[in-house]
Amino acid sequence: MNGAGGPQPARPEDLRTLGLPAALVPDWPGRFAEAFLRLLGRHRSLRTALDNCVRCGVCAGACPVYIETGDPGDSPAALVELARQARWRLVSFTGRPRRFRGPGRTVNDGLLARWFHYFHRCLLCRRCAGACPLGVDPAEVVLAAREVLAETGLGGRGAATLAAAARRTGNSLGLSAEAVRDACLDLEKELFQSTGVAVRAPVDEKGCEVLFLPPAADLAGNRAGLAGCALVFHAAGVSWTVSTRAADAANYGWFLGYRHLKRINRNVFLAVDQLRPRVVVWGETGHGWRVARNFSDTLSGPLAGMATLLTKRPLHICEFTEALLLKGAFKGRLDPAANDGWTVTYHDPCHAARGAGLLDPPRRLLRAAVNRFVEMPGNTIREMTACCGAGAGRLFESDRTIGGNLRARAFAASGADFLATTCDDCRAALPKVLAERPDLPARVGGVLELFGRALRPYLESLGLPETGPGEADDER
Amino acid sequence: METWNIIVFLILPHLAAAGLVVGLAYRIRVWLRTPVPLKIPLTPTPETRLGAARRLARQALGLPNLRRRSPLLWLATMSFHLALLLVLLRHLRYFLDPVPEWVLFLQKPGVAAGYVLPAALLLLLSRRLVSRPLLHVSRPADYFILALLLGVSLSGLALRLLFRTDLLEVKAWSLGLVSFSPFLPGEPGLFTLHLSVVLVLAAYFPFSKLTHGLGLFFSPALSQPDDALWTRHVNPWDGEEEE
Repeated sequence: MNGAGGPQPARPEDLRTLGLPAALVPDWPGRFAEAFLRLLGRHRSLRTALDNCVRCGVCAGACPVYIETGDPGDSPAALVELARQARWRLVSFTGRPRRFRGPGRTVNDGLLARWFHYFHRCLLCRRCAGACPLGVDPAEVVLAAREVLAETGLGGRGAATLAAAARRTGNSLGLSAEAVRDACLDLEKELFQSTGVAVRAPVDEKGCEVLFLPPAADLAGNRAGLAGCALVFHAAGVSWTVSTRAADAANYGWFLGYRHLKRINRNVFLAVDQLRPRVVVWGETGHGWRVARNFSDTLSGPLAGMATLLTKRPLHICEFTEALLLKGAFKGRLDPAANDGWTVTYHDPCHAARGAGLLDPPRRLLRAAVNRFVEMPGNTIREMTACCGAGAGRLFESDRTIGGNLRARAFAASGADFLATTCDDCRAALPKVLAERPDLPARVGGVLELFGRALRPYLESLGLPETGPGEADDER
Repeated sequence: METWNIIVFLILPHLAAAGLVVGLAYRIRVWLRTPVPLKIPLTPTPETRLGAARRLARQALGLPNLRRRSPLLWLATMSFHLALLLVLLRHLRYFLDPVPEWVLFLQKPGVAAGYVLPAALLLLLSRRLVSRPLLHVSRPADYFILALLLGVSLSGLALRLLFRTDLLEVKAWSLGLVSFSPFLPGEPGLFTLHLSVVLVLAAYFPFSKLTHGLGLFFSPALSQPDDALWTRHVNPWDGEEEE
């Protein structure tokens, strides 16, 4: 149970930032019972999952973690059963908390250890939920279990690290306002050098058309994704800005509990309040987009409450760019030949695809910007997508990724050599997953990275007046 | 013996039926009263309430995703549930007088379904025993339920094939039950066993995983429409624990 890939406990300072106990609290059985019963009374999804599961086991065949590890404790049905065991020990069959806790009726160290291990190995990808004939969503059980664990002092490292940073700085990598500004300045320099055009990457500018929330990873390390977005905004003539208050599209607070989810979502509204944009566009993110599209309105109210906003609807950068593409904003400006070095395939991020229905916009962008686009096998794409191995902050939870094999095999079967995706966690995890398969020479990158590259010949031609605008065909 | 017969044939059936109805009503009440804080649709989800209701009905009646994922389990569970439905409908002949035309029409399919039932149950049981992840998650309750259902169906078959009981007496008894005019069958024989297992099953039903057929309709991921972008969803307990 404690072999490779075992989840690690969170750092105490991160848990303290989040207002969570920094270590297992002395009276943890009481805290555990209180938290679990509270969540049972608050989440119909949790209750119906525990009540409806008949342990038919179909989910096991859909679970990328179980498929890879073969540990029967990893199967989604086993996770639901693990939660049900705790309920059985705490609650009588009529639903009232047990008063007499005889032998076998207490949540003991062994059960707690199994909870910590298995509930932090789940990637929350919900491939099992799509397979379940009874509408059980095991991810809801895992989320509740993680919240209970966090309340007893056993927060998972991945979510706690990232959420604490978001609480301190507004982004999950802990970039200071200065670092965000530097990153955008560097990007402007890079783009000027490579295209000869002054492509802007503004920070904290008021009254722009777009407030753009890039995944923090786009600002920290590899800026190819952010470069793509900047090129899109430039080519379409859209004014945009990044905010130092919410320099992030992600929300890892979700994996620690509702209160943390809500608190981090507030960063976006602080930024909107300050900068007064016309629309808010989320960068290339998976779970962050699900939070924005499906939860944000419930958590913090409509974006349109802010006076100048054109739409209360949050937009994903793929939707936004697709809308511009369909309006003809890039007509004659896209040159898919710029991406001819690769055969590209698309990895659906779980939460964006299965959780928020983002299936076609990224594909339309790729087909417009890439000449050779292929799909992976049908049971690993769209709503059947297979996790990258980094779901739920898992990348930061442990020393290695688990659960990405299914994706690696599907990628090998596709014959592509560029794996495009529209989620920063996937983009960070997939190179690690593919590195375990040295036979697959592959590059991993963002959808907007490829789209931006197809815009480069046009922009470069602006810098060199003797060649006219490229005659690239942007029709599909 | 007389007292024993009164308990098994008159008191327990009424108690079990009442327990079944009250228990299920209680379970539904708990599901309904548990809040749904967030929208958690699962792609592909229809965008309207009507569309979501249709999807839910399709799922409940045909389990389309199971048919794709696990055709064998789909076959086993569909034949089990359909056979059970036919057998139950056939049993209406013991509770209605005169017996309606359509119940008589279901007599032959109902009898055939009586043979399908134990076969499907054995398929479900063997599946549970051979698959490693399934064996790992299986609880005593899972085997208990399969044993009860096998007990009911096999004792029913035995009553038909081997140890026939006086059906006129049984019908007088069952009509007496539903019209609250007590009648005790004279020599019920194996029918006592058949009835006893049914009673245990009915009493256990509301507290077991067998409520999945109802609970399915309350699953948020399966019943919500995908309309978060234009419909306001309020979390009833939002703000209860602000820092």
